[in-house]
Formats: sequence, structure tokens, C-alpha cells
Amino acid sequence: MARETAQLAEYAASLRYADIPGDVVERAKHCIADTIATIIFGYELPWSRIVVAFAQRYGAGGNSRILGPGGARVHPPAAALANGALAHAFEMDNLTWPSTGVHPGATLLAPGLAVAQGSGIARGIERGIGGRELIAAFVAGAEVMIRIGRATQHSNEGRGFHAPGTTGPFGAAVACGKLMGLDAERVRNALGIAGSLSCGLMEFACSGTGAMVKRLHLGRAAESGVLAASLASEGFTGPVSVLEGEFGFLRVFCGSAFDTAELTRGLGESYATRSIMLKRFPCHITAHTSVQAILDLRAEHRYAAADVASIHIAGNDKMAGVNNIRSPADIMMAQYSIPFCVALAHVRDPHDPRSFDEAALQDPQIRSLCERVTITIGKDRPAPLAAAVTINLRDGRALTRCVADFKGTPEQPLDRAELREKFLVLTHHCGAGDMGRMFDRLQDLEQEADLDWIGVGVQ
Amino acid sequence: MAEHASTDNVHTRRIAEFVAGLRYERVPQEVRERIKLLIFDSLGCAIYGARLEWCRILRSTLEALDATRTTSVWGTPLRLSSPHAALINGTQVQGFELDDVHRHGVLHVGAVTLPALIAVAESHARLTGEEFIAAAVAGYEIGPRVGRCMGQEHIGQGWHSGATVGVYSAAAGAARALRLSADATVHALGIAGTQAAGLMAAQYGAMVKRMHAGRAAQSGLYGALLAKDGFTGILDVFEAPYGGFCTTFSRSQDRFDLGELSAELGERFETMRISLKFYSCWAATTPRSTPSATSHAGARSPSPSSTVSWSTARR
Repeated sequence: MARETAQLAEYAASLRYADIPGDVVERAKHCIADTIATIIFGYELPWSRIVVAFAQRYGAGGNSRILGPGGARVHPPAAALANGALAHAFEMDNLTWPSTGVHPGATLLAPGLAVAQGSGIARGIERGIGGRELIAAFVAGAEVMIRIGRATQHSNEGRGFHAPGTTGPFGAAVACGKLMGLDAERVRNALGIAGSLSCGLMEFACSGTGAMVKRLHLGRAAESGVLAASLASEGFTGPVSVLEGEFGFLRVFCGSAFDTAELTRGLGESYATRSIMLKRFPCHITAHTSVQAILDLRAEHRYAAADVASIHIAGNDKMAGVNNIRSPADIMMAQYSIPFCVALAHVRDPHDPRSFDEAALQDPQIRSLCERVTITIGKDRPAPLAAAVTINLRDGRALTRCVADFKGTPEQPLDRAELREKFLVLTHHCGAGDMGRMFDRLQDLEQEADLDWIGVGVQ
Repeated sequence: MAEHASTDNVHTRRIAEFVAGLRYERVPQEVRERIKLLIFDSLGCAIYGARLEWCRILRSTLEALDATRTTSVWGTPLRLSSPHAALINGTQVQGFELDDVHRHGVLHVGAVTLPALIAVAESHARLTGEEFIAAAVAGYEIGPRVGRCMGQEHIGQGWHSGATVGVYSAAAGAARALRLSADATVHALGIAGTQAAGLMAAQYGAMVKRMHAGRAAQSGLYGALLAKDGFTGILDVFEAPYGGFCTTFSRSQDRFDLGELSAELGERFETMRISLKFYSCWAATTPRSTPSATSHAGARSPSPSSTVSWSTARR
């Protein structure tokens, strides 16, 4: 018996901040700052407002902040629910590369911060929780959750589950358990409890209207982690082999296509946290290379949208298939559509999520360009997301750019200035001065003795 | 809503229309009597369950997390926010395997339906007794039908069916109690269904198994409350060929029977097929007893040892 669940719990419970390599701490801090910005941005969106109202109504009395201008203080599960859903409110939150079906920020930072800020309320946590504890909890959660994602081989999503809703409760439970100071047995119980809270169907992606429930999956996962860890801390038990067992997570969610060995491969040696990727554009990850190619070509050749006759992209099967949407019906589908994102990048700033609004969806120039984008599967592409983009101009010139990698991947991480730029774009409605100061403080998160300052007052 | 026309969700719609439209007058007398007995039994189980260790842990944990004091935790002086009260109350009903069971749907119906419904009645909507009974029947009718649709294989694949199909009973009862329209009820079912969870691994000695019903009740309550505020869910949660409940939880395109979802809905009452248990063990291990013609008056006794009849679970 390999006891993978127990091994992961032992690892997580014993991980100390001092053991974490500097570059891993840096990556965790970047992911934390990135997630805080996406939550603050997500706060105003219509579906977020419903979740925020729900969290306020049923979460009164706590000290954990819903991040957003004037966001209420609520109890930790409600804050985790709201902030988790808000983090994923507009396809701006971080994931991993290669993809493992996890969203680290939404399902680690949201519940972790909720527990940290609510520490005066939650039983068993008497002292304040500071930046080092949050970073260690984040890394412990990421190491466990990303390995679970690797072990699934994405077959949970192939079978119809929304992967981050299924992996999220485990990571969230570890992060929260770590902040509560649980021992290995209790972390193992928290993982066991999380397995009973793991859920989320993919049908939102197919029903044509982009159901709001997609956002809820991440919120519910975050909330589940708080619940699982809180219960485990009080002695509530879960199955000891929830991941590898006969009726455990991998067999039940993944059928026969999974690799149990991935659960513990390299545990404590190679850091899965390093595979976290930050998004630069609020669109599906398959659109990133093509959008980057457009920005490069426009910067180099200074052509205008009106000069474009047609656009051709040679990409992968997803780009030519599910993301090849010529007439998106709503904004969420537009964010999934490579033709739309490529067209939009000629007319508006694709870094700014506010560019992806109703007006853009109705803009005749964008819609017309969108109709003139063709995507085929290219040969000999150097990387999974590589795209060769050719702009055919009306004057007969053809401009081509092949982009294999893009800023934000583990190989090309955003530098501090680029991260700051994204942070300030996402939060600019909250005042650049305040938000710039919050960003700077987040860069030195390990120096902070408490975390109550993370949030936005009434503007 | 225009998208309804283009979505193949005939079964989901039928369920939603039944739930939204069910009136007390349409509930046969025997079903009214039966549901009162079932409600009574579940509340008794919850009051017994309140003293169990796992329920105590759940209460003390949530009491420390949640400062809202609106909704009762049965059999205790504690009040919490309605979603947390629902989580505990469902756990208490299921606390010791004493509660009702629908054999063919394979779920404990009261444990998932009542915590959501009573939370609504207590904290979100004023209901008459007749409205309450209509809402209860709306809830009790749906989960067993989803369970019948999924069949035995659902459990064989590792799902704790009471927890997975239970979300629909919870959502249906709460939606009816909130007087949601059929359109909003479709969303409530779609929000609840995407939260369906619960691994059979929990059967082996873990306290978390006790919590599955409560979690289903809470997820259904979330579905109804969020749908009331305009949050949207999956429109064809049962029918969807990829990522829908039936295909995903059966790992197939055909090992379920959608027809069971709405067959004779409003005419044949699954509520009449819900059994009460005499012994605190899993239904499959309880020897099958002959249905007896006990009077309802006798059956209303609160004592678990009284002569409660098996339901008319003849197939």
C-alpha cells in the first residue's frame, strides 16, 4: 500500500517556510498578487454581485474580507466562496503549464486568506497569521493539488467534470489546514473530507450561454477547503485513502485513465509551484499565442485594422476546433473564441478585461474581422500552443509571425513591472495610488505580521 | 428565455414545471398522510442524531465559523445561517442510519430534502402548512426519480448516490417553497446538479459519510437561493451529452434511463415508495420485511421502535 494520501498529508504538515526555495516563494507571491487583482476586478461583474450578496447575507459576523471596493467582512467560508468565484469571474486567474486542471489562486489564496483574516474568529487559531504562514500554506496546497491534477491526466474533464472544481477542494483543504496548524493525521482527514466535496459539471461550456455556475465551481471548492480543514481540526474524519483507494477520487472521477504515481512523484524535491502560469489576456489560454503575435506584428509594422484583408492561423487541434468560434453569442464565448480575440486585438487593448464588453461584442469592425479569420492545424509546430499567424493586408503584403511561447508561462514569467502593470490595469477603478501601494506590500508579503490590510475600502 | 427553445431539456423542464406548479390540492390524500409521517420520522432521527460525536463536531466547528443566528439546528438551541443549518440538519438526520430510504432511487430522501426546505420555511419565505406539504412532496418526488434514472451502476462506480442525486430533491423542495417559476427552477436544478458530490470511499469508517446528505441539502439550497437572485445554472443538467449529470456520473451515453425522470410525474408518487427503517444499518443489509397494513395513527408514534409500516415498495 503506497499510502499516497497519507504521504501528501505528511509532506504538507511538515513543510516549513524556511525550507521553501527563494524562487518558489517568489512564484507563490506573484500568484497571490495576481489572484488578489483578479478578485478585485471580478467584484463588479453581474454574476459576482449575486455571489457577493449571497455571501454577505449568510456570512455575517466574520472578519474575512470580500476583496473588492467596499467588500463586506464575512465569516471565512463565505469569504472563500465569494473570493474563489470572483477570482475566476473573467478568465483572468492563473493556472499551470502544462495544464493540470487546477486554478491555484482561486482555490488556494481565496480560502487561505479567508482563514488567515478570520483567524480571530475561527477556533483553534489564537495568534495572528502573517505572510510567511500564508506563503507556506499556499505552497503546500499547490504541491498537493497540482500533483493530484497531474495524476488525473485530465481524464476527469474528458469524462465531463470541470477539473478545477474537483481538484480545488483538496488544495484548499491543505492550505487551510496548514494555516490552522493541523498535524499530518488531521491534514489527511481534511483531504478525506475534501473528497466528499469535490464536484462540478462541464455542461456550462456546451449549453451555449456560458452558465454562471462555472464561477461557482471555484468558489465552492474554496469554501469546501475551509469546511474540510475546520472539521478535521475538530476531530472529524475522512477516508484515509481518499485519493488512491478503491472508491476514491482517482478511480471514481477518472475511470481507468490516471496515474497514481504522479501523486507523490518528486514530492519535496521538485516544486510543482514552479509550473504556475499567469495569464496576460482575459481569454482562453489557446488564444494567447495568436494575440501575442498580433501585438508583435502591429508594433513592428504599424498597420491599421482597416488595412487587414484576412487572417490565417496555423495552430493546434483545439485552436482549429473548440476555440474556433466565428460568431460568439455572449462575452464568455467571445473569450473562448480565437477569431474574436485576434480581431479585438486590432481595435482594443487585449490586456484590459474591460475591452471585452458588450460594445466589443457588437462592434461591426471586430465582428467583420472575426469573420475573416481562418484557423487550421499547423505542421511542425515547436510547442503545444505555438501558433503561426499570417496577416494578409489589402495592399497585398503578407505579414507572418510564429509565437511558440508567451509571457506568463513558467519559462517566460512576467517580471515585476509586467505583473504590476496587470495588477494596476485590473484594479484601476480602486485608485492607482492605493493599489500601487498594495502591490508593493504584496511583493514583501513575508515581512507582514498580519494580513488584515489585504482588501479595498469604500471608494 | 430564448435559449430554452434551442436546448434539449425536455426532462429537466418537465421536472421544473412539476415542481413549480405542484399544488396541495393535486397531492392525493394518502401521499399527504405519508409525507407527514416521513417528515416526522426524519425529525426524530435528527433529534437522536444531534447527540452523536460527528454531529457535535460539525456543530461546534460551524458555530465558531458562522456568527449568523437565524436558522435552527434541530434538537439543539443552536441557530446558524440557513446554509450551515441545512448542512448540520441533514447530517443529523443521517447521523445513525435510522432514517428513511427509497430503495430503487437509493437515497435517504428526508435527510436531503427537509433541511433545505425547512431552512427556507424558517428564514426565507412564509408558508402555510399546505404549501409546506406541497413543497415537501415536490422535493421527495424528484431525488428518487433521478436515482431510478441512474440505476444501480451509479453506486458500483463509486458514487454515494444519496449524496449525488440528493441535491435535486433539496433543490426542488427549496425552489417550490421559494415559489420559483419553472424557468428559475430549471436554473436551481442546474446549479444544484453541478455541485453533486460524494465518494463511496467515505463508507469505510469515516465521519464524512454522515455529512454527505447534509452537503446535498446545502447544495440544493444554494441552487434555489441563487436561482431566486438570477444566478444561472446548467439548463439541460440531465440531458447534456457531455458534462451533464447522467452521462458524467454513469461514464456512458446510455447506461441510464432519462424516461424515469418524469415518467408519470404527478400521477405515480414515489413518496409512497419510501421506506422507514427499524434498524440502524444500511438498507441492503436489513432483511426485507413484509409490508404490513399498520394504521397511520399507529405509524405516527415518534418512537423508533413503534410499528411503522414499510412503504408499499412492491415492484
